[in-house]
Parts: sequence; structure tokens; C-alpha cells
Amino acid sequence: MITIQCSKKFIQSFFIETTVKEPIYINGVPIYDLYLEKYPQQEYLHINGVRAKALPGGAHYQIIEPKLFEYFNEICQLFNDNTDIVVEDESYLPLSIQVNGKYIFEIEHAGTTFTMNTELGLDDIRNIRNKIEGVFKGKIIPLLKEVRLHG
Amino acid sequence: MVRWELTKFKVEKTDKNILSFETKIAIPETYKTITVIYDGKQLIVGGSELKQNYLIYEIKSKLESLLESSLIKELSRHSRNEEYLRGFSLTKISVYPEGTLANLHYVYNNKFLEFGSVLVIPPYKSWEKLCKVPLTVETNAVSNIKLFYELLTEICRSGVRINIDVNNVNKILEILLQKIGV
Repeated sequence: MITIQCSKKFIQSFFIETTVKEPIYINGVPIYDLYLEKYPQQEYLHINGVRAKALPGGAHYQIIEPKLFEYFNEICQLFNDNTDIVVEDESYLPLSIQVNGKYIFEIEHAGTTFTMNTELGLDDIRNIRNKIEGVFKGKIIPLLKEVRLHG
Repeated sequence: MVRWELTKFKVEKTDKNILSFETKIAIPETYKTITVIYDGKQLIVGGSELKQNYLIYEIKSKLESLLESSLIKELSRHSRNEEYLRGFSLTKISVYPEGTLANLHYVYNNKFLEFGSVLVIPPYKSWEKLCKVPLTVETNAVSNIKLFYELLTEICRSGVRINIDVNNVNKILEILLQKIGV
């Protein structure tokens, strides 16, 4: 799962799990399963809890940081208030959206049944979906691939 | 005119091509509930057989139309089995002074799609607004989130058809209420 936290239309934090073909060396240990994070109030990318800049090849990661955060801001532009978004990490489709701690959209999957509860109309959901899916598939993932932080 | 409330509306067709239908209409004033049953041959209204063939024909054709909904066809795309059941019903019926809200429940074999609440009585006139209002959607027809999103798009594409379905429900009830004398 991918989680995104927005505040007043700007990215606060995010968490993305990813698996890479070529390992990243953290403290000399090759790591294939990564989690990429931005913490609230910090404008840095962290990889498995370590500031990306400090890792071997860190200069490449540092270069993409502004662009990466700008792409997340594009998603956050959809929301005025404090918003928590959960996105599926295969399809890049939104699974839930909470605004100021209250769910305004949620898809639950239990057994064979999908249930969607929402305060939004399906047209709004389609627009949000298109934006989030488009930013991930067209911008964030290709950018992460460029510096080998994704598949 | 006596006040009435819909409490059940369910139509099904099995693999033997047998159409069945049941609806229940409550009359709060008299504490009575009138049950209407069609078993493919007879239409029983409040325990008595309705013998007017033209009325039965009209009701039957509208019931058949409900089972031809594009959303049932969409569900059939997700079923690997030969057709053995299709159905349409109203669930979670709630009656308010302004009208009756319900979920629309479509079935093909063991697959279902249900969404609502939508105004079914009187029929909602602005169906182009269907996807601008909050809807709860539930289904077991899809296997992943991507297909679920496609189904949401299909609901929006089917706005006109959903309008026809709800109008058919109203027309069937209108005929039956006249017959019952409500």
C-alpha cells in the first residue's frame, strides 16, 4: 500500500513500498525491498529509514527529491484540508480518503466482496482516480525508475 | 388516496426460463400487507388470482425488461458459468414522506451488484445526476480493484437504463395498486 498525507494542498508525508532488481546498499547490506518515505515537515527522501542523500549513489536521489515532492503536490492539490490517502500499489488506484480524520471515501475488500462507502459522487471519484493513477503511472514511477528505486 | 408503503420487490428468472416475482405493499392505516406473487403462470394479488390476461401480459413484459438491464449483462461478463439465474430486487427500502429510497440489486448467477440509496418512488427524474450524489456500491462480481473501478464507470454509463428500470418498477406498482384499489 501507498499512503499519502496532504495538508492544505501540499504533501506532508508519504510511504511507498517497492522492490528493486539491483539492491541498494544500506550499511553495506544489499537490500531489495525498500520503503521510500517523506516525513512531515522534512523536505528529504528517506529510504528504509535512512536519508537518501547519505546512501551510496545518494546524489542521484537528492536530485529527484524536488521533482518527486512536486508530483505528490499535484495529487494534494485536489484536497483543501488535512487529507490521508491510501493507494493500492499495483494499480495505483485510491482505496480510501480521509479528510480531517473522517472517511469521505473507502473501498473495503472482504472475501469476494468489494464495498464502497463514500460521501462523494462517482464523477468526483473518477476525477480523483484519474489524477492519482495518472500522476503515479506517468510521473512518480518513471522518476523512481530513473534512479533505480522502482522495479 | 390511501397511503401505502413498498416493503418488497423481487423478480427472478431461473435456468428453466421460469419468471417469478414477489412484491409486498403495506397499508399502514389498516395494518395490512398485500402480497403479490407471480410464479410464471398465475398472478396472485392478495390471495386471489388475477385473471385479466392483458394486465398479466403488461406486468410480465415489464418484469422481463428489468431482467434485461445492461447491468445484469455487465455481471454476466464476470460469470464463467452458464446462466442459471438472473434477478432484480429492491433492498434496504426506506419510506419517507417525500418518497421511497432503496438500493437496486442486480443478480446474474452467483454474482451481484447493489448500489443506492436512490429515490425509486416517485422515480428520480434527474438520472444524469446519478453519479453526482453519494452512492454505496457493493459487488462480488470482480476480482480486483481495477475491475471494481470499471464497474463504477459502468454504473454511470447505465444512468438512462437505470431510469428505465425504476420507471418499470413504478409502472408495475401502479397497475397493481389500481387492481388492489389503493
